[in-house]
Formats: sequence, structure tokens, C-alpha cells
Amino acid sequence: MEMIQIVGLGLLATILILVIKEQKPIFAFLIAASTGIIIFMFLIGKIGGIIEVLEQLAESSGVQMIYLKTILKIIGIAYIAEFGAQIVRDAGQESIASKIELAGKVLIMVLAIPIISIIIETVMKLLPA
Amino acid sequence: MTWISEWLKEIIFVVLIAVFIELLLPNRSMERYVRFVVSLLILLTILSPIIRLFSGDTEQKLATALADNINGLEGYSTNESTALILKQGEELKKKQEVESLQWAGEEAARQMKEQIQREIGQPIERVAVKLVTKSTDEGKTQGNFGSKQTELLISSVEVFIGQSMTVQDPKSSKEGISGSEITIQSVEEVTINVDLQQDVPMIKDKGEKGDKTAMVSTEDTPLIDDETSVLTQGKDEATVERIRELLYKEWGVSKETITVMKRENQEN
Repeated sequence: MEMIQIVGLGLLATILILVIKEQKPIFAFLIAASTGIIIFMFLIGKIGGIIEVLEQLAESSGVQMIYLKTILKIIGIAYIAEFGAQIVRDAGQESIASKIELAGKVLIMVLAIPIISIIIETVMKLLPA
Repeated sequence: MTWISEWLKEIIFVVLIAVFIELLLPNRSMERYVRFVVSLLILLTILSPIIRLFSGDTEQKLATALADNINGLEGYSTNESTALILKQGEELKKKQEVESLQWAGEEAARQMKEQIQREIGQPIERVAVKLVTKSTDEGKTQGNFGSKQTELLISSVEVFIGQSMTVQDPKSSKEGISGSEITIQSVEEVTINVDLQQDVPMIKDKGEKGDKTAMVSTEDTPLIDDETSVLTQGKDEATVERIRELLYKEWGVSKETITVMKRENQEN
């Protein structure tokens, strides 16, 4: 049922945008952005459920929570960067969209730095000096 | 052997979570980066026994490094840790308070015992003193942490008098205590209760010799007085009165709340 709701909302928004685009392109952009946000809101509850299950799984298996937190952070950054970049790209600003994506990639890399440093440290200790 | 199963479990779950997360990803352009970081995490998990072998505190280091990142973005975990530290401090303080109360109670009991022995000339089996702290009103109006003004109160004093209230000379009474002579031992208990507020937590002080069975604590003062008058002879009452007088004089325990109990039972 929710799937039908979301598809219906998407179709409605698309038709509206097609109609309105010739006269008022700014409204078309606004409709596209708000539709995206509404669909995302639909999904937030579900994503929360998935994350809860993952957390329980990690807790029961004894995986350190810091791993899970890192992974979830990565996915959040990826989602938000994608979302913003696509909206901006829809508005025709390809260069800004690519900058947003770059920012997302850099932030993900920043999260990787402590892990990389620990691995490299261990490897250096393993090798004879 | 358990560490192998732990390790395998960890690897399996990290891989599972990684696959799951990859399914959740929005689209292709981010996927390479996410995959890179996730694969690093899996590598770290696989290497974790070796890492633990070489440097013990790696997990802590990783946690702090990542927490720094988190702080840069959100900034909640410092508050959490500060609250934790404050809580630990509060617990430590409470523990210390309890310990010092116990110590003070023991010390007071020891001194009381000596005084009573000196005054009355009869062996005292033990003296138990209960101390409580009463937080004064200004402590409540002041802040939550630290600076709470407390006042020490003696809530009850129990004096257990050894054998032979009726025996006249002190020599035989000493023998009775040492148990070399076959006498019927009577234990007399003097319980002194100071009225208290209900909300004050009671800290019970164990007596020096830890005689739990002999402890009788009651709230009902006049009833016990009657019992005393029934059970004690005149001489005993005089002694008890002297003890009361002494405690009142030396320790400021008010006499109306002093309860004298006497139980005549045979001890082996």
C-alpha cells in the first residue's frame, strides 16, 4: 500500500511538473524538491527500523558499536549528499551538484582516516624495521 | 578456543552489515567510496587479533578518533562522558561517606565502651552506635552536586552489658566473662534511640564483636521500659541509670529517648 502511495505521489508530481514547467520553471523545481523530501520522510521510519535491527544484531554478536556507527555515518553522508546533488542537478546546476558529491566523498574519506592509520601502524609494527 | 569463535562471529557480522548497508546505498557514484571504507573496516576486523597482540589499546584509540569525528559533526558525546564522570564522582563520594560514617560509629562505640567500663566498673560486652547524616535545609537549596551540608547524628546506642549485674565483687564478674566459672550469663541490652526524621537514610553500624543475634531494635520506648522494670532488680536499674547519665553527659544523647532493655537469657 505504501508503495502505491509513493508511486502515486511521484506520478502526480511528475505530471504537475510537466504541466507547469513551460510557464513557471521555478515552481517545477520546488515541486520536485518537496516531492523528494516527502518520499524521504515516508522512508525515514523504515530506515530507523532497519538500523535498530542492525544495532541489536551488532550488540548480540559483540561487534564493537564503533564499527556500526562508522558504517551508519557513511551511509547517512552518502544519502544526504546524493539527495542534495540530485535536486541541484534537476535544477540544471551540474557543477554545484558535482561539488556536493565531492564534499560527500571527502567526508567519507575523513571517516576512513583513523581506520587506515591503525591498519598502517599495525603493518609497520609487523614488518621488521 | 573461544576467541576464535568470537573473532569469526565478529567477521561474519561485520560482513553481513556491510552487505546490508551496500544494499541501502542510493546509487552508483558513492558506492566505490563506501565500499572502500567498509572494506577497510572488514580488514580491521580480520586483523583484530594481530592488532590486539601488538598494541592493546587500539580499540580505545579508534573509538576516540572516531568520537572526535562525531564530535566535530554533532558534539554530543562529550556531554555524555562528562555526565558519566560526574555520576562516578557522586558514587565515590557516597561510598566514602558511608565508610567514614562506619568508622566514626566504630570509634564512638569504642570510646563509649571504655567510658562506661571505667565508670561502672563492669565489663561491657559491646557497644553499637548507629550514626546517620542529616542533610540540612541549606544543603537542599544549594546546588545539586558537591557542597551538601550534612550534620552527624547519633541515632541509637546499644550497650550490651556482660554478665553479673547482681554479682557484687568485680573479680567474679570478670571470671564470668572469661567463662572459667560456670555461671548463668545474663545479657543486658541498653538501647538508646534518638528520634529521627523518616527520610534520612540509616546507616547501620555493626558492633565490634558482630553479635547479630543479640541485637534488638525497637521503636516502642515505654513498652521496653516496662519490661525493664519487670525484669531488672533495683541494683540493675541503678546501673542502667548511671549508664544513661554518663551517655547523656558525655555524648549529649537526650535521656528521654534512651531505652533500656534487659533480656535475661542464658548464654553458653
